[in-house]
Amino acid sequence: MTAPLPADLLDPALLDPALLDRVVLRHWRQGQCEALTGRDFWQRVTARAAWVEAHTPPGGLVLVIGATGAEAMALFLGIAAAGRLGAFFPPASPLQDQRHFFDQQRAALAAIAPDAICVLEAATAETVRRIDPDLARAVRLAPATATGDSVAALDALRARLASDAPLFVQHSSGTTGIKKAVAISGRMLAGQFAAYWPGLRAELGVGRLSVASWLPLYHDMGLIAGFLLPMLGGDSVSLLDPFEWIGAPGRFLEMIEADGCDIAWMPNFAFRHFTRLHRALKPARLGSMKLWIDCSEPCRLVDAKDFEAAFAGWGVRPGSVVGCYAMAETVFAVSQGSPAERIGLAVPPDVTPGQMVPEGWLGDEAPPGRKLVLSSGRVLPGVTLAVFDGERVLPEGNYGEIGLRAPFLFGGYRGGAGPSPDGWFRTGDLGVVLRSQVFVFGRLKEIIIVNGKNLFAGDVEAALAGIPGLRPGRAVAFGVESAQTGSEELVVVAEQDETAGTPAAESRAAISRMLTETFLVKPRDVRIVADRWLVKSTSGKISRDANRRRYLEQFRSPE
Amino acid sequence: MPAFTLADLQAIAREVIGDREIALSPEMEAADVPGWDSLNHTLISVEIESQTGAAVDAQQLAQCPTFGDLVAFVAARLPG
Repeated sequence: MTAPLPADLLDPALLDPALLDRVVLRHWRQGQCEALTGRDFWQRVTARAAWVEAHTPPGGLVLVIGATGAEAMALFLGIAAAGRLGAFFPPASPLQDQRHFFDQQRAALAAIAPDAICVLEAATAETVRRIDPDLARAVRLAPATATGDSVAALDALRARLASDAPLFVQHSSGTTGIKKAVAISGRMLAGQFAAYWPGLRAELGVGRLSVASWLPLYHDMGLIAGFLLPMLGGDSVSLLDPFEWIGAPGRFLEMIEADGCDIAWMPNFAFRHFTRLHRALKPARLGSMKLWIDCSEPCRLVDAKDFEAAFAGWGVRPGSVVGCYAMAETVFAVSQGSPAERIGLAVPPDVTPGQMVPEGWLGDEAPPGRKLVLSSGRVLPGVTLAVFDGERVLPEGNYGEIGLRAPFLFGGYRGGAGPSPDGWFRTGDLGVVLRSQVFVFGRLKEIIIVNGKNLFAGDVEAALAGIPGLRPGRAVAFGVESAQTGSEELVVVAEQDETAGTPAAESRAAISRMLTETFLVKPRDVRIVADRWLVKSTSGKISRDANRRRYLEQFRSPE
Repeated sequence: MPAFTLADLQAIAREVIGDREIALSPEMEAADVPGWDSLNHTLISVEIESQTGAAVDAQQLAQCPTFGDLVAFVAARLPG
């Protein structure tokens, strides 16, 4: 499946100086809004670029650690404008012990091996310095605020959009491993904009988008859709810190009403979360919203429809929640749904790669026992998507591994593999294309996606090694889909070492705490089981699939 | 609900998280309970407010170090 390639991927209107006189960012904190014009913002970027040039090595990888907001965004773009390679690193939540948090992130920071770590808060800088002498040398305390008269960074960055040199780095996995660093060039970013943004503006019937975001900047959805693409286009972003969203989700809706936002990206779980919270939220007028984009984890039509129904009285339009298939390796979006074409696919639990998917599965309802997958829309212009069974490309309508070619496809992970020599990037995602609509609903890789965050099952299992009271190597981690949360949930089953004398409840709490601190993900369930409870495959390895089935049979009633 | 006890908190947590086997004790904290993540914390807070009428929010409750502290915090803010 291929969509036509745009004649010129580099839109001449990117970073148009006309944006200087418009409001491009509205940053909401505790119900108060700070509105920045393009001039305000790019003056900050320019001042940050000058500081970066003076304090970091040329061409180096520079991490940004700071609260989500205008200063962190300006610093990130200042790094790019100064010719360095920027990347966001997750900050500790306001309720976490900073020292403990960064101590747990030491391995991740060491794996990234940044040339500089720019930190916006003095206490955080001091904390990061203390965890490791090698890291301490890289830490720079950035000024809390910085501005000036010049907007020269706008021209500097525009020039970099035509370059194939890396502009910034996205990390495609949020685990401690952070093995998969994806370098994005200016040309890739501009290409993603050209393929994605004009279609969204046309869908909404607007010249510029008004984006609402509570997403973290270290995640591709928040970084690209909630920050960089709107900034390139001179669109506006209304921004709420993700930690504030978690504590007070209603403020996101109040922000949308106040700013008249028309588009937002959220992971599937957030739609379910809002629906569960609906009765406790203060009503807000949401009629300005034309598109809610469900992205970053398996998209479920039932969650989209429940959200629309719950918030219909507040102005949410029927059919306005649509799917999107996206990944860091293609900068962001691969395909995008539209309200006119939205449809579900009722997928049975036993579908297998290589299988033909009948069109009879398409529809808006699913019989019992099937999951109703939300379509992720048509592929973007310039993208070629094929479904593979092994090395064989399957005809449309077959289920298999999704492979991609795109003018904005990455060249390879930092220090790792990338697309094959023939240009295909095999995603490890399983899906099908029916009536030109992309559906994604499985994975070859053993990845668990919890609330938009990717975890490798093997990483989780390896991290259990230090937990007292467990049999070494006798633990398994897997994901369980939850209708209640609209996401996958992390489950760990570990065999107890009965000779150690550690109470099971103590091991359970220790696992819960360790996983939360290490992976920033809370397990939904931890089970401490007896010796030889875990099932091995015929090859002698502990089988995740078999143990997942056994767990569901023994511990969970059908949802 | 005339008072707010650890048993009440446990019942709410079981309902919101969907785990009938959750067992809370006063010295435990949210980090010790599988399933008690930040999203469920918000839902639990909403449910506490709804069931008791106590004027509490998720951020206040997140600052209570233990479940014993949380129960005392809510109990002190019950209406009437």
